[in-house]
Amino acid sequence: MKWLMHFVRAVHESRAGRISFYIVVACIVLAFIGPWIAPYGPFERVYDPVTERLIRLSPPTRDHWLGTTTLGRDIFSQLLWGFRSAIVVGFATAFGVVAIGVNVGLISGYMGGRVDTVMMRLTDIFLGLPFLPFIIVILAITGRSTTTIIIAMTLIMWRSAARVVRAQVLSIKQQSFVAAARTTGGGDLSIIYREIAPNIMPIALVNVAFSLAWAIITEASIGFLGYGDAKAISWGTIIHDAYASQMMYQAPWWVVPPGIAIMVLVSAVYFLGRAYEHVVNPRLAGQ
Amino acid sequence: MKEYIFRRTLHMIITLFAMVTIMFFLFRLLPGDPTMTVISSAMYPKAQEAMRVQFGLDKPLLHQYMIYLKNLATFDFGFSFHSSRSVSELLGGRIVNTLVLVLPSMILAYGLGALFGALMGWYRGSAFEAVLVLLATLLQAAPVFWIGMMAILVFSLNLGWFPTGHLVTPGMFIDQDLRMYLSADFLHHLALPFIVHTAYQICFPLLLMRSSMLSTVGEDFIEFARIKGLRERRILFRHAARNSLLPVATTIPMILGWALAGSVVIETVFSWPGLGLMMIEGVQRSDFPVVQAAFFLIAVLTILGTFAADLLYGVLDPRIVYD
Amino acid sequence: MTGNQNNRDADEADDSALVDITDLSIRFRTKRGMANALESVSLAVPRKASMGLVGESGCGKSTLMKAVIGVLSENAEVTSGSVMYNGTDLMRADAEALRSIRWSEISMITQSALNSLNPVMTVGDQIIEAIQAHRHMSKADLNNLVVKMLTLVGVDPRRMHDYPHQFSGGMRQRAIIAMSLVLNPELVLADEPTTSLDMIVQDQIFRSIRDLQVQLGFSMLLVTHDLAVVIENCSRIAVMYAGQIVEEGSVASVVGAPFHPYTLGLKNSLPSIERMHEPIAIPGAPPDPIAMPPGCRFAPRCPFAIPRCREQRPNLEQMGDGHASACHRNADMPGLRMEAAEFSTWARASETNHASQESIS
Repeated sequence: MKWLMHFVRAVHESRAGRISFYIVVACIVLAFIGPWIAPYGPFERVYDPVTERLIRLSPPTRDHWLGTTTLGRDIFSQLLWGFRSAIVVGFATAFGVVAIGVNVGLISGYMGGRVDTVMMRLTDIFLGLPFLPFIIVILAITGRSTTTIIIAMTLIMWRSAARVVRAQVLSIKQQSFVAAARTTGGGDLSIIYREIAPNIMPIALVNVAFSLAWAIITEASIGFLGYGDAKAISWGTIIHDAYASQMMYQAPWWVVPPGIAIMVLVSAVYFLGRAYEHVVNPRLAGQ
Repeated sequence: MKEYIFRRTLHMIITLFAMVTIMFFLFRLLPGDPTMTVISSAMYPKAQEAMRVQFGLDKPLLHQYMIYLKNLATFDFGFSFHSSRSVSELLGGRIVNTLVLVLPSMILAYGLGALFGALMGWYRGSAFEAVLVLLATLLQAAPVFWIGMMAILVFSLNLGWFPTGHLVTPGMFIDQDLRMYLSADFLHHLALPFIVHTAYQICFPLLLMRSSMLSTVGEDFIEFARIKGLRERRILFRHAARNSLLPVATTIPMILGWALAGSVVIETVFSWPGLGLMMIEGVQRSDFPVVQAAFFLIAVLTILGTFAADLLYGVLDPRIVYD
Repeated sequence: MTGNQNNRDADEADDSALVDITDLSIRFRTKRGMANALESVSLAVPRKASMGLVGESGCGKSTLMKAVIGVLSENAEVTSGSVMYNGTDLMRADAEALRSIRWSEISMITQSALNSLNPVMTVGDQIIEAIQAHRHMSKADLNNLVVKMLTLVGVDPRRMHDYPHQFSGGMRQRAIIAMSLVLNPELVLADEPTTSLDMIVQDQIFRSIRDLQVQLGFSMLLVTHDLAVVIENCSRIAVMYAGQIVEEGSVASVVGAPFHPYTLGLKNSLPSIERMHEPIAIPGAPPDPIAMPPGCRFAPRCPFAIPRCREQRPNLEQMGDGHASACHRNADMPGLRMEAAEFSTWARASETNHASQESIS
């Protein structure tokens, strides 16, 4: 909670940070209430009340603000539902990634020696694995669901976070308070989690932001490639449906909105991460 | 230096070996009979039996693993279920197609990104900097496939400047040879995916170079260069940018890996027959030998890229300790 | 107007100052407010001689130096004054004019050679680029000049192809000296040129600077917090405190018979054979540049301060022989010098000043 307050205060220092903060908060709120305020269900087919015919591929109208799909689904409603999966998958993955990354980085950086070598070799191996292809193979093995998508992404994304945290741990280890904790006879675990961990919180939070951004883009890519959760609607799967229907270029109202939603949310997250990084790492300020 | 290269080579081999082992188990975890990876149920029973022997699938796991290693080392990936041609035969052109798209555009992205990032850092606080930061962040935040679709929508369909996809106009070339790769038709097809990919890839080095510059311009040696009465241009390029380049250069292997892995997306949008599209099609058709081969090659290219970038870094920074 | 200038007007033309700083005031915009870095500083740097500029860190000596060489940071504001060099006012000259004066006429030896050198460029190339920025020369001539200069400062010229990190600290400092002299400048600014080095190397470096000065005849403005270094290397000295020059004159006169209590305090920091105890540090800290005291800026730390000192700012006053001091009690000082050498005097000052400050607040 203390960290959250610090974060909020820090990002409020710049205008870009403030605006981004409110955009992200708005998206989180929409993730909760989006499905309630959506006029239709994500897979609900809409019929013309007069002719009782399915409204296929309609351009934006008064009733259907962003038009409909070839299957007669309301795109505005789908877009609203999409907030939920972007936020849920994004945050779950980001926290998973940072939790693994922080622990690997802490242990590897603090222990040094053979433990460090083994863990860093492992990280190198994961860095050699191709990102999206790996996720797709995993999904082909496990089947497609929101949970498996989160797991597959976490499994490959922790590698960068681990490296960043380890580098930070190595420099913190040199500082006097760690040596002091050692001489007063603190155990390794207590030093790692009581003394060092609080000091890497800022960099961990920066990583949460960047992982969140990456996770949202990646989830969209997975959806676009046709590996999204078939039972949930996401911005990536909306674009996939448009792409697969071969009508995407005839119906820009179908593909443009989800892309803009991703772009706005992700860039807000980037700006947020950068605004926070700027505060916790003054070297970036230039002077 | 020699020892450094030797050590990096060793690391590379270990990484490669571990990656291959992960793949071995990963592909045996794919749903269905483990023999599915190499044998299609659509084959005649006799042919299936023959292949089982060829790939040692009747032997214990360790033996299978040895055969698997031997096959990979000799680039023998078996036969595609879909086209029943040998996978290695299919691969050749695919690798070239991916590299033709990804490599030049990565080089251009890093070159332009470093140049403009340097200017952004130098003119910090200017409108030029603010606009580019916003643009780059927005572009980086948008999924590349969506940018590709938007580009097709605007430049191919509305303006009609470029074809919507594919390597060349269908039927124009019989063989994928040098004559095709040098043809105007090929370049015309390459242009749009190339521009989209470059525009997308430029964001990362651009923003990184900018922030690297911001910390470099505060260094004493920049002020000292000014005290020496050097011209601003020289201070900007030879001193500030040259030093800021180092942290940007370290990211080349990582980004190259992402770009190669990301080829699955950009190639899908532009129907560009490279490794990425090959892999996606393979997964869709449960053509596992093809998937495995494409996965393997993307990983190998990534690891080789890392290795090359490590060596490059040694050239860029004289302070690097080869230990 | 100081008596200095009157003297100079009467003298020969060649005796005029090389750099003439008049009434220079500079302040910095900071988050907390305007910080006064220099206030009404006047200083004449003599030709073919060394002048020492002493003061605690933050007293404005580095700002003064940066102003002379024209690399003040962006948040600096020159509110008054001029820096005249050969008829050019360096505070008002255009960028290209300043650029051509830098290094070819006024060069600098910096504090940390390691930070001043570009880590990814060979030492030789960094000397060569300094030459090329001002002179057109053939490649062979450039090379010969670098070899000559490195030899002159005692660095093996074959090391010119090495990178800075491959040099020892002393060698790097020598390389910077070679670089600073390569265009035969009129004035060399030296900013604590040896603080990062050990005593023996420091001594060697200063010895070679003195030798080179005899050979090449440049002026030096040596900025340091160490009075001993000035005594050893300079003929004139200016003492700075909180952005102002408080005492100025020949080294013999200023160090031998100081008038300003701050100079007396600095003198106590010298290791001394006569005084049998440890060097005495001046208690307290310099004033906050954002909220300078209204009277004498040294008054809060001064053992001899009288009520007038806290109200009225003293001006530099000629005490004869080109020796000036800015103290209201200049006339009383000859009788107080003995007292100023005592530890108890300064200890008392810190107590009473502390008490008076508390009673105010």
